Amino acid sequence: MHTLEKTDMTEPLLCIENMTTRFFAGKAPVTAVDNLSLELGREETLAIVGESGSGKSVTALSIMGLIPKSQGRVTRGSIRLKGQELIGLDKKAMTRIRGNRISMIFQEPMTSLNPVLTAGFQLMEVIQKHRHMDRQKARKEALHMLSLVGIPEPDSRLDAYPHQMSGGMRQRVMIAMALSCHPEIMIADEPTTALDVTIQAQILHLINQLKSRIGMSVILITHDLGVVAQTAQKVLVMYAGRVVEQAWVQDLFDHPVHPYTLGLFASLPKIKAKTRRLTPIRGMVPSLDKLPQGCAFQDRCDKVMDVCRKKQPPFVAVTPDHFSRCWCHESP
Amino acid sequence: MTDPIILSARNVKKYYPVKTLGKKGLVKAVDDVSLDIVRGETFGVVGESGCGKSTLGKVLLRLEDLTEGTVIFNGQDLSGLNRAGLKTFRKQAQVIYQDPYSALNPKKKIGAVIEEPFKIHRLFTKQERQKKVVALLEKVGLHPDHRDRYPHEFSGGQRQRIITARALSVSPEFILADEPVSALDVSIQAQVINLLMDLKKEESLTYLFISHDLGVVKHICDRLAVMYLGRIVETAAVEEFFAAPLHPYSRALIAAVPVVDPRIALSAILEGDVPSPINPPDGCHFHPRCSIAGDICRRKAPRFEEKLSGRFAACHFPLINQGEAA
Repeated sequence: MHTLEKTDMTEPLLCIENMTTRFFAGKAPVTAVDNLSLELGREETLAIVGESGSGKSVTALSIMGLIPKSQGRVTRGSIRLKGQELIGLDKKAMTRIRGNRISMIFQEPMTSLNPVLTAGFQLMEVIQKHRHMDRQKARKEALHMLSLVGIPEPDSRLDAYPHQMSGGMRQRVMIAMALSCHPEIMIADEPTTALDVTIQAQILHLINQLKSRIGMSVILITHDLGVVAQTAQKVLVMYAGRVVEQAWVQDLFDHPVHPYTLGLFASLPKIKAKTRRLTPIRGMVPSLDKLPQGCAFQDRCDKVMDVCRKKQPPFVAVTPDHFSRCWCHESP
Repeated sequence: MTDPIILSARNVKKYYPVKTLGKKGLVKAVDDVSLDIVRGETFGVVGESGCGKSTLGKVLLRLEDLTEGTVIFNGQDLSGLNRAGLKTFRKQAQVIYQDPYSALNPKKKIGAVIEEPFKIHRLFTKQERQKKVVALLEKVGLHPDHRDRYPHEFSGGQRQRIITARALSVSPEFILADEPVSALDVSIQAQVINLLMDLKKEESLTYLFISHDLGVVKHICDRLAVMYLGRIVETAAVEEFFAAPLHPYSRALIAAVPVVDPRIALSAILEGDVPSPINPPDGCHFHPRCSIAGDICRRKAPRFEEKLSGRFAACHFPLINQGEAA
């Protein structure tokens, strides 16, 4: 097990060990998340970075117990919330965890809200159901939540329909909904990807602020390294279903070591630097049902060696709190 | 001698009639825009969603008719072109769109897709066309064998290459690229940006590059225009712009981009939302969100004028240091 917090002897808030999620819907089973371990501390933001198909969203759905049973499931590993095992919980028990203790917001707030019900109705429904309040109390609580997430004139917004709101406002309503049961963890899956950059800044600022104000932890899933830098303390970099690098944020940005992470940084057009040519990663992400033997990154890697094509690289500690899955750390 | 200005727009307006709750109104998607694009440069247009940047691109290439104003391309007024003239113009100016998934006919093989412009413009014999298709595929980094495949067999980055090959087929001088890399993953985005920059050099192209991503614009563009609610609020050379923006909105836009460095926190967060383009604020459209707005900003729309030598902005209180003013 890889421990980032050495000083904290108690079990972290959320502890995932060797979680593997597989899908069985297609011709051959596909491993979307392979042997993932992570720890999330209190009031901590952990970012999971990766490109499309890296398994970052499936990781979130696995934690929430939202992988459709007909298509796939977590086949191995353990997910513990304050010591309580979540894998294998029955539907009722999982429903109690979802929303109350772990909640989630998604990329596109328009598709997550019901267009024919007012924002207030949907928010109050959550509060009434989960916190067993009557209508009047729920309305009061809904108003409180809307002002908490920085919606101006919450009174009138309560009776507005989703289409009458901007994208930023809708995402604020989603956050209000997610936080209305005071969860210990909020999972945000690309929460700002559909938003304009000035609105993105507002939402990121809001998430950072709320985290310390109500004492929750955040798992933030994103493809944007800028967003990671502005929000996270801990970072996991995923590629083709596996964690390839894991570190504290400052350490990762100062000294990335895995060839894929290095490639991501080199691919970025930098707003501050003055280079004219980017250094992309060649080729493209392999399809999960056609992963090569050995390291999944081998065909795009400049440092590829013979061993990379034969065996999976181990996840090794480069420094005590910095892990990377690459054979290059093993070479003499 | 050829004119250094390839495309020149004067007081271009594009208004769409709308009906909200039975009341008739106008969306001023593009409102009195003037700009010059120099031959051989990459000219960026940035702004948030709904600012009119895509509509501007469309009216500049007469993909939509404009409501008012003139667009001159290579010395020719586009609004005066007849069918034949327009066809010749389409050969000179091509388009690359954002979504590589919807821009390709799923039932057509890639070879046929790239060959189509040759057929439309009746260029070359069949054998020559086949050769050209192969050359184009290689030029954009694809394999000649790919011509017998269908669009669904390609990834997003490859599709963007196919669309680029199609645009290049008629050897245009000018390419409108509307968010060409926005739908792509970072590592693939870098490949396509490099390709676009290489092609520009090899084919001596001029780009009109529309994007919401300031990082990409800074990287690829020489000059840029910032749009807000249908109006251009600032134009500048990219370097000068990022070093010292003149318009408060430009400054806020730059500040909102999350810096890829955990040590630098987000600063100067712009409050509020972009107002509805159906009913924009009076005076300067930006005044409700502007930290330095004065009384005049609520009453009078600022003129778009030269504030420093070679730098234009529409603002009553441009961000100019003392002693720098023109």
